[in-house]
Amino acid sequence: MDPLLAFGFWAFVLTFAGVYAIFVLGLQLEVGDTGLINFGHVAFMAIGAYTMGLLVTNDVSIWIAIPIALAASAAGGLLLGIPTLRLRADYFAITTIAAGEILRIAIVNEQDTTGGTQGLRSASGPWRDANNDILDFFSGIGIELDRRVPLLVLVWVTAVLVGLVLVYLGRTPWRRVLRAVREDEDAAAAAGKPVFRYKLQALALGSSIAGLAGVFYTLFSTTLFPTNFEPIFTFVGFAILILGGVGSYFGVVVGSVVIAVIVSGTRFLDFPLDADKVAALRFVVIGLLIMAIMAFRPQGLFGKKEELHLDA
Amino acid sequence: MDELLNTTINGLSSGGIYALGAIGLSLVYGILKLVNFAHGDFMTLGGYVAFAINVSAGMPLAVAFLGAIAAVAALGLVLEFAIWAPMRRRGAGIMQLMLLSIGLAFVIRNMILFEWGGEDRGLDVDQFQSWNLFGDVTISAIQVTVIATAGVVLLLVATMLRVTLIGKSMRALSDSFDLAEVSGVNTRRVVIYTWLLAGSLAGLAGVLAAIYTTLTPNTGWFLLLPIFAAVVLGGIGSAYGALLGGITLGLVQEWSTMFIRPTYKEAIGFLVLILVLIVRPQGIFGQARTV
Repeated sequence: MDPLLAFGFWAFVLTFAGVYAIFVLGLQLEVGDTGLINFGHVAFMAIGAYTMGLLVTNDVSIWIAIPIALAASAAGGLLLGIPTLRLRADYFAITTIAAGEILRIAIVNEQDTTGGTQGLRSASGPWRDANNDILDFFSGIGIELDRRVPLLVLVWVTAVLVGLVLVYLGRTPWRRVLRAVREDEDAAAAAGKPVFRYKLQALALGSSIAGLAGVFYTLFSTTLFPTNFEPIFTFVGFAILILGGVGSYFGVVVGSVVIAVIVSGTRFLDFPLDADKVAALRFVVIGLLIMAIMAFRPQGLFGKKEELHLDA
Repeated sequence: MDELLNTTINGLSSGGIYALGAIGLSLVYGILKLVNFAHGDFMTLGGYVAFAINVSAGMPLAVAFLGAIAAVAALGLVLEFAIWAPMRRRGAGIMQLMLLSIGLAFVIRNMILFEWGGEDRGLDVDQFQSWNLFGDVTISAIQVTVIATAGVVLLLVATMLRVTLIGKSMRALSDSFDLAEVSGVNTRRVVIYTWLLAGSLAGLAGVLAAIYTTLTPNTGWFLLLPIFAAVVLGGIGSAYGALLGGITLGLVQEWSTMFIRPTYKEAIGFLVLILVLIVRPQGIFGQARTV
């Protein structure tokens, strides 16, 4: 099989990119709009994924499980934000990564509930059947689809919808206040804006978007492992964010496709090296990309320099 | 009582490694305003340089220690000239430098993975020699090596920071860069010595970690968060604080295993980190002031 031509392979890569796009849209709201450097974003994705997985494996309907998963992620954001949002930006960053690790260690340890390192199986519940129904429907009207197509379409439709909601929010007074908070917290507070409450709202909304990414991740991978939610996932998210540009929603889409192609799309290239070595080189490339952007174009491809606030 | 002594021995071993890593991380944070996420990977590199000398080339462990220390110190210096100094001249913000260090961490970690592969490595040490001190209290040869090496080096570093001019200058710069500079401290020189100190201690910590646990490309990264916790515990920028914070954290983690499941001990470190940041951000050993 020539993977370059294999549609299924690219559907896989692009679905992965779509999950990342949703994930980073939430991150963009926090980092780009509000100035919250959240290194623990993946924890809220884990909350969404495991909440949904645990509910559907206990025979709760997926239509009830998904909203609960999003609410649980938002609640996690509030829980983390209330004590930590008053911290300085660099302290906040370190605190969030530590909180995410506590959650992950708890998932590993509570294996009677979460499956631990053995994984939480069938976490996507009835999705496989629903997927087959969709494929049958299309073959009934004479269209044969690859079995990966429905999720690919669904994840990108969702990503675009989330992006449109965020763009709409961008025209409201709400995000103008967020950006004011990012630009100058003291000035926003002096203008009578409840800064803390706005930050908390942004963190809760960003976290529930991460939870949504978690829901799609669960549909995508079916079995959940704690290793899927290591801090590196957030850091790759940051690579997407800063490549696309801090503050740019369009940049998130471009960034997630580029990074997903580097991470998994280069598998078809026939390197004269072991698979492990190629995997290592991919992350060397991502690391160099992060360094180069931060050194030479910190606003990223589509960001605006005057909107960039990377000072603590 | 025996359990308390055994966990104390374990805690001093891991705490010694944390302390060695934390001093450099804290000084670099305090002096250069760099939250160096690549510091853990500096340690990993130290471990692998020692592996190359001690196992691949079959030379004595002492040579491996020196080689690792020299290699990582040199790396710290090279990166200062290649990346950090130019970035500071451009007026890069603290977040920009932090994200850059994350990219650097990816590069170092994955170049190690590229060169040495992902499997567990160890150094040529006697894994099984241990002594029964009394009752059920035992100490392994590895623990003696780690505690003795870390103890001696930490004492030397603490003395250096207190007595020598360069040590005093480092602490002064960490306290207030501008004040130290107008007082006539040669900041360029102090920055160079800071990287040499941070790099060599990270290299040493990496070798000790490779002896005490196993060596993988992730060894240093997994140590980095507890080391951050140690830095915060001691008050960011304070070298003594980092030293005490590292040992305290090691002891607290190990003592906690007397009450909760041992697999949760890492989480204890992170919990300490969060609680200290919320309740006492100047650190347990720091003094209250505006930061």
